[in-house]
Amino acid sequence: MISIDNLTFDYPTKRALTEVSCTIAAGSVTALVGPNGAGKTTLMRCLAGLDQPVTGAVTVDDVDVLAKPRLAHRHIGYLRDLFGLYDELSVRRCLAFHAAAFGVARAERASRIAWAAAALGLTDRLGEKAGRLSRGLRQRLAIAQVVIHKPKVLLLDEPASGLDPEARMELSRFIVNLNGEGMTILVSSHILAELEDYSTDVLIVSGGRIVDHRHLHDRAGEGLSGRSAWLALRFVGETTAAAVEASLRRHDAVRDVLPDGDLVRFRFVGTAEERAGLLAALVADGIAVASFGEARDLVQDAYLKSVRRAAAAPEVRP
Amino acid sequence: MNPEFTRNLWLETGPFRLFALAAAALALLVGAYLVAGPALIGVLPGLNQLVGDPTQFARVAVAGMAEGLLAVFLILWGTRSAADAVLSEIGAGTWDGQRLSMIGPWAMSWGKLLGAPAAAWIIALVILVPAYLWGAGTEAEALRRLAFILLAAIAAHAAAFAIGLSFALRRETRSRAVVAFAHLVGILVGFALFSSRDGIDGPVALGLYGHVLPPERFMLALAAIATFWLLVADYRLMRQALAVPTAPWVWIVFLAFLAALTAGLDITGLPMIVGAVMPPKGYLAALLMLLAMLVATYAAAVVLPPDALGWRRWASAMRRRPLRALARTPIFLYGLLFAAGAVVYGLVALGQPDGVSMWRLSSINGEAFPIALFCFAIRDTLLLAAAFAVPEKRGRVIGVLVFIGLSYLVLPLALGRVVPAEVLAFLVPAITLDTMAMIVPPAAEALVALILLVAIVRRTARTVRAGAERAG
Repeated sequence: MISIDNLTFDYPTKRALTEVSCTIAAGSVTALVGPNGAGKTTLMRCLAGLDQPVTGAVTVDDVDVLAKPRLAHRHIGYLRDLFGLYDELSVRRCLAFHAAAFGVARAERASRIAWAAAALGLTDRLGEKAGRLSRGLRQRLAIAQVVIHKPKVLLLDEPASGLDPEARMELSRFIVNLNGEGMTILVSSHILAELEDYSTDVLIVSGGRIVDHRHLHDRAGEGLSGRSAWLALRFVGETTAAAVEASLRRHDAVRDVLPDGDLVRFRFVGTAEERAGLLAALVADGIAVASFGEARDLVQDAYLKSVRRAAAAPEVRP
Repeated sequence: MNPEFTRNLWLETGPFRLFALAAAALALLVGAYLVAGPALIGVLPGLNQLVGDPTQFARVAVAGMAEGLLAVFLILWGTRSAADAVLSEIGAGTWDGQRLSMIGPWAMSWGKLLGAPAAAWIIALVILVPAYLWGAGTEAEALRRLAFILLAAIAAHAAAFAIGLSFALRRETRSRAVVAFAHLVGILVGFALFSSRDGIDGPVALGLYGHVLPPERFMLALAAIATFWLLVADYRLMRQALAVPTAPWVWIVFLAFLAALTAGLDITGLPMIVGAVMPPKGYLAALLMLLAMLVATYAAAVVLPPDALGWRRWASAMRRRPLRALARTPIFLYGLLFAAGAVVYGLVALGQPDGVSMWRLSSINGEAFPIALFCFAIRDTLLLAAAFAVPEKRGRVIGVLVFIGLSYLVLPLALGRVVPAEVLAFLVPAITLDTMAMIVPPAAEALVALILLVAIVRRTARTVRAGAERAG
């Protein structure tokens, strides 16, 4: 869906991105993480066609973003970190303006406004002025504005910044729902635990380069649905990682086993009862289980390892 | 309907606001009618013999007031809205959203140009009626005056909008000073056109390629042409702001148009020129052309200067694909190229046998003057380019502008009687010196400015490379 080829971006006195290349698969939710100043926002702005790189190419759904930015914008929704709203306009007019600005046909606009308002929980706020909304509602309106044309690619730069915990949970739900509508989503955030909830992939940027790009889940939101989730098992005593892996692989519901020291992460597809049965079977196999639960640190783990590796060996390239 | 125009209408034309403004304007017009009309004549017996038909007198007064109100609403207030149209979006954090939309550059330009000052236009349209119906003179004259007002307003808005956009392109943060500057430029442009509505006083004969034109029509055509090119400038700047690939070809067409216009212009019929000792007509046209090119070049150097990165990109493109690099060439360089053409044209014209002998006998060095002027322009534009290439540029740009002002105005006046002409040649074209003494000083200064620009661009390139090597 998104193809980045050899992208280099300079500010007048600083190189922000160096020969960045990667492909982001259609239907994925990719967590874009990295330290401050790593080039995340610059990368997003180049993907959106807002900033022109020195060299390189970006295509979104086979449209060259740099050569035909206005055409590419048909497929892109981008929410910047410090977004603004037209405070004097009502929520309905804000959405109507964006629908028209993004080329939604006149006949479809009313239904599209209703859809976006419903998707973001704004249906009962359509008559209110944007300037009177709370921080969380403003965030929802901002997202509704950028998805009203149903883009194929949604770029969210620090969307959870400044939100309270409840609003963050709602944001996670919105992202999962929008992904369910078929949108490919790239989301940057410093709150790694939150990205675990919905990310299928992680793209780690450091010093203007991609230091890791890995697949986490098959579908965003599986962890929330209860059907499929990444689980983590920590063992102690005489138990070995090989024994744990062997025991896990005997179960059809277990996929993608990833041993890591005294921790084994694996994907589990099944109900809560089946999960309890798996734990009982592991104990019966003689595995000394110290902890067993949902893995909440996949993005964080990948991030820390990649950034440390990059720091230790600066020549590492994606 | 253009969504950007619609959004502006939603924001700018609330019913209460429109009602209040219309009521204030109508009160002023009624006041003018009452004061200037029969009431005034009633108060001052004998006035009716002086003014003739009192009703007609009142109507003319109302029309005059309406014309003044039009200027206030459109040129003062509307221009402020146009200046702020993009800068306020940047301040509110909504500009990136607009850049990301599918609204094209032309729709975005006119949506903002007409939409941001929408309230001023709506009130103005109400006031236009008495200004047109009751204005002094014939119907054709009233129409011409109204055309001037409308053109002046559009030009003022377009100029202020262009300045605002140029700051947006340079990522200058929003500040009152930036908006005030754009507003001021717009007002100056607007009032310059507005004040030219009465033509030129005195016996005037303006010629264009041998055709003598009535000054009123000539000025109206000139105002229309200026407004047209300002609108084109807005569109081209908006293309850049929306990251639509934009080559400088339209700028080159504009320069060619300007060259053709000035080459064919005969100003020897102007009252201030009639009777003066004049150089050959061709040389005079070449000087006019040179001046026009230099004004355009300075404007380009200030409005669309490349930063250090822009120069690096251009230099890199020149090394790899010189022909393609033409599309990335900083536009003020094209201005200098056309100015060089005007210099050559002037030198050729000077050799023609139609010169006026009195002028030839004068002490003015006609050959060296355009060359020296051209060298000073190279110096100034390269200095400006160097200032804009420095990352922390604001203070340096102002410094260069102050230096240019000192060089041409203050220092020559202050030092004119103190230092020899050879020294003054470093500040202004010293028109009485011999050719080398006149040309070498500005040429040397231009060379220094070039070295400075190259050094700044190279230094920033080294900084970027060093930073990238440290990071990776």
